[in-house]
Amino acid sequence: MKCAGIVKNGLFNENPTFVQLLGMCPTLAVTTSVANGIGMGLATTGVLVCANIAVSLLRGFIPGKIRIASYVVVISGFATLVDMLLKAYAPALSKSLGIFIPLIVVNCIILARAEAFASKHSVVKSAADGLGMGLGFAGALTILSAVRELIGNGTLLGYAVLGEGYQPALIAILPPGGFIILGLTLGVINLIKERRKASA
Amino acid sequence: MCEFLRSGGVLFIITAAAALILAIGNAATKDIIASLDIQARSAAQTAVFDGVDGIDPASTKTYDILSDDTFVNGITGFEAADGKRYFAVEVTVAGYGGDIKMMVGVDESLTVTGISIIDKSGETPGLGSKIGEARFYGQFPGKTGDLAAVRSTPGGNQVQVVTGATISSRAVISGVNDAVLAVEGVLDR
Amino acid sequence: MLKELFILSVSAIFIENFVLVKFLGICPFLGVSKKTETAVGMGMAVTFVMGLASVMTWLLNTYVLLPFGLEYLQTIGFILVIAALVQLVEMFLQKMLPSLYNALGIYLPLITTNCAVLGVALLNIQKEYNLLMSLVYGVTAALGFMLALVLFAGVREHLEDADIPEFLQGMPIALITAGLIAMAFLGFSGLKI
Repeated sequence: MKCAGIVKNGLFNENPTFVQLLGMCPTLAVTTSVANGIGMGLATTGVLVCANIAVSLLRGFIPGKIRIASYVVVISGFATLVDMLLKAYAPALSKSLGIFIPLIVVNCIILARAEAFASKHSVVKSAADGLGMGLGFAGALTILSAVRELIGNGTLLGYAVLGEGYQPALIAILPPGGFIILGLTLGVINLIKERRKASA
Repeated sequence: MCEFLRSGGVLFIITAAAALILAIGNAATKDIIASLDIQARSAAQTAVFDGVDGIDPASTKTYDILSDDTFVNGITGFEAADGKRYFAVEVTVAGYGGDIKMMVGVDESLTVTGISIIDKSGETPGLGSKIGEARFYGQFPGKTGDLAAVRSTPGGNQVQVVTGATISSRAVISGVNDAVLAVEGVLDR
Repeated sequence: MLKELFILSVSAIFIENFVLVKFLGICPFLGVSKKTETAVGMGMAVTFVMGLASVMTWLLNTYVLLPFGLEYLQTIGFILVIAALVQLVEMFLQKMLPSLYNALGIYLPLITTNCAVLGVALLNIQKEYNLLMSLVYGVTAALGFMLALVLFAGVREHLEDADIPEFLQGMPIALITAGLIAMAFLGFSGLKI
């Protein structure tokens, strides 16, 4: 598989959020505004690419029995680093993402990619896989947060796009709205897939 | 046994390497993070004295907090050109989903000059987060302590809560009340 | 003190339910909730690990990380402690309760990557709880997780017989159901204690 193919695979065919249903906690928790969604997506992409590269580099060195523990250490190292950088250079984003930045460590997407891909492939391919999966995750978060912010607050990235007269349906940015909108989005994706199959 | 030692050794090396990298990262970012905190605090101090002329920023004096049963974490006194004293009170209250950090400006006659919300990241976006809008916090200047929360049009020492965000609003109001009490305590000394 | 602990517990179980309000521990919530029995088993395993993890991470933070100024190693230290604890629980269950061990199957090692566990450890430190409060918060937050899990599993068992449009079957309808349960829990936020 070429690198472009690997990236595309992460973005669409095996999208970590919409197809594999991994990393649901941040997906639901931080998608209350587009800025948060994009910020979380990119922070996770950063950790994912770095962790994939590191795991791929170390793949001959780590004994099989302690591989998971080692991956977790590597991932939490990068997650803490991202946490520090955000605190120093993007304090507002860091505050609104809060505890979910250190919790990137336990985002199953990252551990799953380390185990399923990076531990078996070359550095370049692993980096491409990390990038594809990360951007797939970021894209999914952006879509969800756009829907939630638009319905729940009448804004996109803080700009009022629905006009003054729009009465926001707050439920969309409250916790129940997160579950329901994610459920409906998955349903719509299923519908699109069915249509495609029927027309093919 | 040998394999066990090898596994442990490898894990130890990886952890040590990670710790080393983090130590470097920490050293590089810790000063920036600390200076951001100081900046946020001084910006908030300026904001709460917006309507007061001639505050001397160099005339600061910090006071101890005497009561244990208070949300106040810090009191800084300032002197204005007219010789009056003004106090910037740092308060942390429990909001809906986390702590709300804010700065409250109080003058000698125990009147609130202004409040500035420093951190409201735990509040629900679109609901509790509206405590950061001027429509809510603009109600405080000119009022004195012992404020009560109301849902309808507020009277003399009342503050109208943000619709649907009673918990966050009440938290801010109780914080302001504590700030005024703390300044009263300082003036009594 | 007792009153504080009571408020902390009610708030952790109902008002700020880890799964339905704070969105921590969603993966096992969606993964292990097809049968009520496994939901109860998973809930108990998580409660045990979260209570233990709260205490261990608090001790680690207070007596090792803080005195040496190593706060930046919190995440790494905590996740290692949790991983070790889960390993111990797994070995214990395998020997003592093999039936539960088989039922929980692949989800047991996954407690390590259950963000509720690391989440509670980090929140204990962030909220500056003492040791007792950390323990109580850890256990009650886990009970809240278990409550949500069992309720959800009960509804899901009935969903299997329901006539659901094809495109919503499986995960979409499960998420929408979770949303409705979360809406019910939103009512608790009006509790005044």
